[in-house]
Amino acid sequence: MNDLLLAAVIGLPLAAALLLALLPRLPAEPARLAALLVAIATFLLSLPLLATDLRGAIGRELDLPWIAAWNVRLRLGVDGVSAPLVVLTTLLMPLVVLASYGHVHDRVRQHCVLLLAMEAGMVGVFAALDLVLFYVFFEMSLIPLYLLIGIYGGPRRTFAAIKFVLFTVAGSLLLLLAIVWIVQRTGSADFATLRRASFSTGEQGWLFAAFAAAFCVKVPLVPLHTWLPDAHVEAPTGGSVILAGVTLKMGTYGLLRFCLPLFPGAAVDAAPLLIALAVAGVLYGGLLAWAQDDLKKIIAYSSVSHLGFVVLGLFTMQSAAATGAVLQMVNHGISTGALFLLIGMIYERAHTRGLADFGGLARTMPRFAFCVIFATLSSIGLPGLNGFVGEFLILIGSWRDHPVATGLAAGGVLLGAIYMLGLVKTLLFGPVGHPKTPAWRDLNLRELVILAPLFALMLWIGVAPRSLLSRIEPAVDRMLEAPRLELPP
Amino acid sequence: MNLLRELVAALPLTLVVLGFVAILAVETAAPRRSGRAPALLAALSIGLALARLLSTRAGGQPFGLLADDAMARALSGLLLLVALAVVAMADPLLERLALARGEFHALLLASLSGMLLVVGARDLLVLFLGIELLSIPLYVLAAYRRLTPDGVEAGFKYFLLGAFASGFLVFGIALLYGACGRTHYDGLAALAARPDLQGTLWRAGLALLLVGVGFKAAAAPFHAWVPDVYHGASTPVTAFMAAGVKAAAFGAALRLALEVLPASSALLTGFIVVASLSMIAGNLGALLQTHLKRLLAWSSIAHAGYLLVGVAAALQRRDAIARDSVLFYLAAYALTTVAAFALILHLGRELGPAQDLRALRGLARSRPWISFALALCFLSLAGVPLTAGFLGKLFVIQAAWTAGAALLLPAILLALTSVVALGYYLRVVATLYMEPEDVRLAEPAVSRSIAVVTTLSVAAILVLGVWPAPLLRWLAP
Repeated sequence: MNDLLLAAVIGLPLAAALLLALLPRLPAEPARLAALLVAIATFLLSLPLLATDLRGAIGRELDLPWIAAWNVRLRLGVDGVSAPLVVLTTLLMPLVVLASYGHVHDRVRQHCVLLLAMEAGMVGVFAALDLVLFYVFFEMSLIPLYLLIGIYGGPRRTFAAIKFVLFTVAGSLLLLLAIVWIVQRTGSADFATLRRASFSTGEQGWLFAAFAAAFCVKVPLVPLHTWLPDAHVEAPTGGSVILAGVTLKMGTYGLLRFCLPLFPGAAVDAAPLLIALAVAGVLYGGLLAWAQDDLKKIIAYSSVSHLGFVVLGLFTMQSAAATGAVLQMVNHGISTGALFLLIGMIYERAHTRGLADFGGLARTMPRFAFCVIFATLSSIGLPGLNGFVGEFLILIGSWRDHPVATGLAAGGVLLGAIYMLGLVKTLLFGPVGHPKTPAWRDLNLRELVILAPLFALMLWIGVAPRSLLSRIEPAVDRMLEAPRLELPP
Repeated sequence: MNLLRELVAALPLTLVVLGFVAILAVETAAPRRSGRAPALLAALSIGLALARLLSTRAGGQPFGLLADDAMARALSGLLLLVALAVVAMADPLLERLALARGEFHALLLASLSGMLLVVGARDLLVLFLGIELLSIPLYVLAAYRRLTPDGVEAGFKYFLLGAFASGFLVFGIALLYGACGRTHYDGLAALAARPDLQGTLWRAGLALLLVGVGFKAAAAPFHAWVPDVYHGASTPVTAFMAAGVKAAAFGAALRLALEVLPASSALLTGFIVVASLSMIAGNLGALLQTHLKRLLAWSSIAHAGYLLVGVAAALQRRDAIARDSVLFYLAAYALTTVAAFALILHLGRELGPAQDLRALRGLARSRPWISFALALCFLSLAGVPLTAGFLGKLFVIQAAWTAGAALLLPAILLALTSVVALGYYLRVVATLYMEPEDVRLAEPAVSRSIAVVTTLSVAAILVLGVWPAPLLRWLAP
């Protein structure tokens, strides 16, 4: 029995993107309004997906033939791991469209086309249950983001955009080689079938390496992270929000969905290396963030740090830690999304992002100050807000098997508090930095509406994480079944 | 009666030849005043040939020398489509430049008939005949703008190197004949199965034969002529060379690999070396280009390398998977190149500077559709998902994987050089979309023929990229 809901969640934005692309005479504002409505409708459509199976099975399946000669099928479905990420994507998209009212005034229609096309690709990545289909979506979301950065970005946008693409594609072509090899070896690209297939140790080794290469570039794991700050600094607000909020999670999602269950032996062997790189990322990203002056760079490097936590949680292969890691993916999307939106809002007023240019905003822009503090506290993991739950679970879960790594990562939490609170202090308090500060108006209603859902989620996940965790955990356990059999007792 | 039956069996070819004769007759009857008639005659004969091709079933061996199997049909269909597109593109251009229209179309059909012979050939002499029939009209076509230095240079270079390649080819055929006393593929295959009887003559003959085909396929290290000839020839002719000659040459190579060549590791190594050199040289060469036609010329060398990976897989496996991967790739490549050259023709209007990449800065603003189509062509050449080019690469990689360990490195090289390729293909996209607009082009309305050619090709690229099942079914009935 085919469930068409996922097809609708992918098809609606895709169809809207095509339609908008084919109407070059449509004026800017109706196009943007249409995109906004479509994005909201997609979000509402995607909400029922959250009601995933409590035993962690994949639900809402759709299975249609595609390339018969190859046994490649259009196979979609979600479980407790992917559903929250799908909804995160569909939630961020209307907010990004709404935020574009502030800074996109030229080629508005094309901006909307790119956003909607990207949304379809990103939802597809999280919903695909066929490796080839997954790869198609994985790459499909790339070109719109390339154009988004390259067309609407800052002065060095072309460089940043091509760097982003080349890094990602270098990794993902290895993924393609591996996928094609798997298909010709097993005769199937279907995830469920492949979980029952077994690869020899040697095969697992290089398949894991190829998959992990693609995903670790995307995460990005140190030392493959250098594209991220460039891309973030040059990207327009919407691009940054999508990049940090969703595309980075494609990497960690891929690690969890494919690397762990399909190549469990190799995953266990590689875990120490990946954990070491993850912890290095937590600390190095934190230190780099501390040293930056550009607001966007600070948040970009903090993403490297936060995603390091996620990888740590996944590769301890421990239920609580991995569940925390998935929750942390969602959390990072919410908090970092909010921070990038806030930076975009202040940039629209000040036309600068240098930390040194700011100061004393709390007095003139109290609403803005409140929002920045709220998002910061969520990002650094204040108990009662979302970030705490994820980080805490990761640290608790990893502690038993990896005390040293966990201890070092906990240092990263401290670092995070240092640079984020430093940012808050310089930005909001202290002497007034910019001579024009009094002229900047506080956040308007539109901007508050953009931020409100994110803040509500920060509180909700912080106070009642059970509702999400109860669905994430069983799904994560299923992914961990195979690698945990390989773990030394 | 027998001859007539054989001619009917080879009808697509016969129809094209008849079209050629008809155009010459019209030209003789009303020289220079025939207007659009030659183009219509050419289109008519190609259309009839296509209809014949699609309405009959594969089977038989016309004259005992030509194959009429799924592969020959697929390639013939592709070549006919390419030629149709070239006729449509070229005619308005010829009219504008006041060049002789009748001769152009006649030469085009003559060359096309050579290509049809090449993809069907099951005898070395027919292969040679086909390659000559393909080449000689093209030497003239390459220099069709004979009053411009570029055109003359292109024609002359193509002629010199082409003649050289023919020398290799005919010498190789002579040696092979010396080795086994046959020129028919069946006879050659019989010897290929007997390693004990293969002497130096046989090996040298095969090597020379393949070098000759490699020239036509524009594979490195036989590629030196490609950039200048692609650059200098007028754009429709370049499109015909890039899409048509390549498809014909790879058709011949694929048939040789499947039916004639012995299973020898030296031969496989040779294929792999040429494939790797082509991928590396083509992609690195293209990185440095700013002229669109030269960029596509170098990229065509790179694509020859990708295709050779598929041919090497066919040599190793001799099965339908490898064959279909090459055929699909050729179809995707030919469609994309024809569309790209049609767009360049429109943009450049045969002026040197206008085909430079810098002239396209920020074009997306004033020319959204053309930019979109051009960007899509380049994305397909780069192999981005949802385009036909992606699936072509996917199939070739799959064929390489099934062929075992020998093709491991070429497949990895294919992936790595594709990353390099993305660098220059995306530069075109970036120029179109991300640069500030400097010049607003004058308003030349897109001619109807170019609009039709590009719309259909772009649609085909997308459809094949999303839904390849029908074509694959047609290839492997």
